[in-house]
Formats: sequence, C-alpha cells, structure tokens
Amino acid sequence: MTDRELLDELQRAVIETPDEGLTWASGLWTLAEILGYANQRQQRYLHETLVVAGWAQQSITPNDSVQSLPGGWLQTLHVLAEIAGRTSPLLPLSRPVTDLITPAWATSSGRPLGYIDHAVGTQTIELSPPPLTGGLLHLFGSWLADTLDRSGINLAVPDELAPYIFYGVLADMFGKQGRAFDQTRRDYCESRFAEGIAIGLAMVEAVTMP
Amino acid sequence: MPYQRVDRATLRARLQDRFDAAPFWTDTDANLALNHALRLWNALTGYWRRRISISGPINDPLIPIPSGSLVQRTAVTCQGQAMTPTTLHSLGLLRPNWWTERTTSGGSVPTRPLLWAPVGLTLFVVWPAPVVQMSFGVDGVRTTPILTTDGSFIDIGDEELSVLIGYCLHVLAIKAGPVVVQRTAEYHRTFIRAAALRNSRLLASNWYRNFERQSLQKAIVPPAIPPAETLAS
Repeated sequence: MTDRELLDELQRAVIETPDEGLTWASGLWTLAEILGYANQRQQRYLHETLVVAGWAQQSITPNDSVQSLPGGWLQTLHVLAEIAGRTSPLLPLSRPVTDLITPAWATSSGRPLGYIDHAVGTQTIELSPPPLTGGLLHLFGSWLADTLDRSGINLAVPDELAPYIFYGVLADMFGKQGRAFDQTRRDYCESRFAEGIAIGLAMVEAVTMP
Repeated sequence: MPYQRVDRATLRARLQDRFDAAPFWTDTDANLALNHALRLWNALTGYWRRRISISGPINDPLIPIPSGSLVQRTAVTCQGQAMTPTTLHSLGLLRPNWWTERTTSGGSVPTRPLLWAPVGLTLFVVWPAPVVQMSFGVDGVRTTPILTTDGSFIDIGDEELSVLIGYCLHVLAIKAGPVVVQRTAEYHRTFIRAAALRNSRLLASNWYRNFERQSLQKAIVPPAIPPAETLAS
C-alpha cells in the first residue's frame, strides 16, 4: 500500500472527497497533519513489533564503553560482538543490573559481555565491560521507515498489516480536540491499533529477551 | 473445506444484502473494504500460502526474502532437507561464534545449514552459512490476492465468506459514525473468533483472551447509546 492509497482510504472513512489526500475540504484536518499522524503511527508500529528488521555493522571503538548506533536506528533486537575473528552474543542489560554484577565494570576493559541500549543518550549503545580492542558490532534491529510524504512510496509495513496503520491514524484524527473529536471512534480505532501490534508481534515471533 | 469461486461483484452484492436501505458506501468504498478484510484475514490465518525457492548467498548467514513474495515464513528447507527453526538469542546461546562459522569450518560444525532463525518478517539467518550456493525452499504466507476488477475472484468457503462480509460492513461503518460502529462491532468479534479457530497461536495468545473477556464485558454492560437513535440520526 502506498501513502497515497492510505490517504485516500482515510478520506473515505471521514467523508472527505477522495483525491489521494490532496485536499481536506472540511477544514478539520490538514494534509501535513495527517501525514504526521501516519508517520508517527508507522514508526511506532515498527518500533513495537519489529516486523521489518535488518542487520547493520558498526566498528567498535576500543576503550570506550559508549558506541554509536546507525543513523535512524529504532529498536535493537540482538547484538553480536566480533573481536579477533570470533563473535559472541551480547546480553541485553540495564544499568542497575550491570552495576550489581560488576561494580567496577566501567573502568575494567575486556571482551564485552552485555549491552545497555540508549543508556547515555539516543542512538548510542553502551558495552559492558568496555572493549579492550577494536572489532565489529553486528546489530539486528529496525530502522526508521522512509517518511510518508504523499509521493507514492510504499508503507514500510506489509500490506496485510497496513489496515492497522489506517486505524492508528484515524485514532489520532478522531482524538483531535475540537470539532473533529469523537471519543467512541477514537477509542475503537485505538483498540484496533493495539490489536495490530499484537498481531504483528505474533507474526514475527519476536524474542525480545532471551 | 468446500471452496467456491466468488468474484468481486458478487461480494459487493452480498455486502449490500446486509444493509436494508440505500448503502452509505460507494462501490469503491466496498472494494477497498473487501481488500482490507482479505488482507487481515490472511494476516490472522495465513489463508493464502505458497512455497518459494531462494538461491542462498555464499559466505553470508543472512538471507533476505524477495520483496512481494511472502508475508511470513513458516518453514525452511535446504537442498530439500528440513531445517530446524530457532531464534537469534537461542542461536547465540548454542553457538556463540555462529556468525563466522561456515559449512567448511570443521569440528562440530555441520557441513550443511541445519538451523534457521527469523529476523523480522523479511529476513532470516542460517547456521552454518554455506560456502557454495545452495537452494533454500521457504514455505510461508503469500501476499494477499487483491481484487482489482469485478471479475477478480477468490476461492473461499461459504462459512468463512459470511464472516468476511460481516467484517466488511463493520469496516465501512467507521464512515457512518459511532452508532453504526458499535452496532456492527459483533461482526468484528466474529471475524476474530473465526480467525482464531484457524490459528492456534492466536487462540492461545494473551491478547485474544483479553479480547474475549472485553467482548463478554461489553455484552453484559450495554453501550451508552439511547435506544431511540436510528441510522438516520
């Protein structure tokens, strides 16, 4: 499904003249606003379900626990550290757990055993313990999808799950305070979006924790 | 199950049968609702399936699924031999060095790919990665057949067709307002229940159990809509 097809269906659902989202004659919404809702819902869906995941490779900076993530990185599924020709999986950790396991981890370099996602800022990953030597990080996860801008690009989610993006956008549209507000339809559409997340997760059979 | 070929025009006519007045939707609205229902039915039940063959890359454990071929992969074979499904985490626990191991690594590493793990819906990894080109057969849910003309048809049994048509009416109801959405909500519940009968994973999921519990609560507690309201209001 393309962004234009999505906009057209949205117009039909709210009794606007369908023209692939170009005009919204009622004045209740604008094209830019609807595109914002669509992008936010799609990114949120990708973040929560990991239906579109991939692989990226980053160089490891030695003696620095904080490593940068690829641009537009959304959600980490799995991490491998390749050092001296050998890979090993890194366990997803939290800062409190890491501190409990090895209080002096931040000052003792070695082969990383775990990672803390976004511990010291966005687009960063912290390795515990800090790597003694360089190597490669193999990252499995998802990226931000291409921005929907009514240029005819495809939604990042499969067409079979695109109806849930439709409901997510409608939830935002009906939730707008003012003349457009419709609590019943907003709540209904929000519940359909939540259903979509559950269905997406079931399809992916994602394992977020070992 | 008894299949029958049903074309788009017939599906629209059956949809009209569910509404005792001039419809509040156009033919285009109905066509879009039908495709919406078919896509969700496929996502929930894997109704349309196929098998594809992929020539695997050399020296690379990552294998992408060709775009537009499969929505969800369910089984993988290598050179006709079934492979065991696992997860990235389990693979890391079993073989920490799995990413760099190849079919020629020797030792305890097998000489053909034995395990596969999904990475989202569009990728999977194999272990060990082959050093020569190998053919992988992937079974899965195919992309939904979309009805593009009035002559386009689907093969489906009557028992499921009624569920699909009811759900289509519910999809269209969003246009008619909150009253019609609530009055057709039972079609959505029936649609989900019918899908769960075909999908044991869905049936066993926490989400489905919560869904049924909320449906029961809504049945006990009536919606706060005055009974005198009609579709015309």
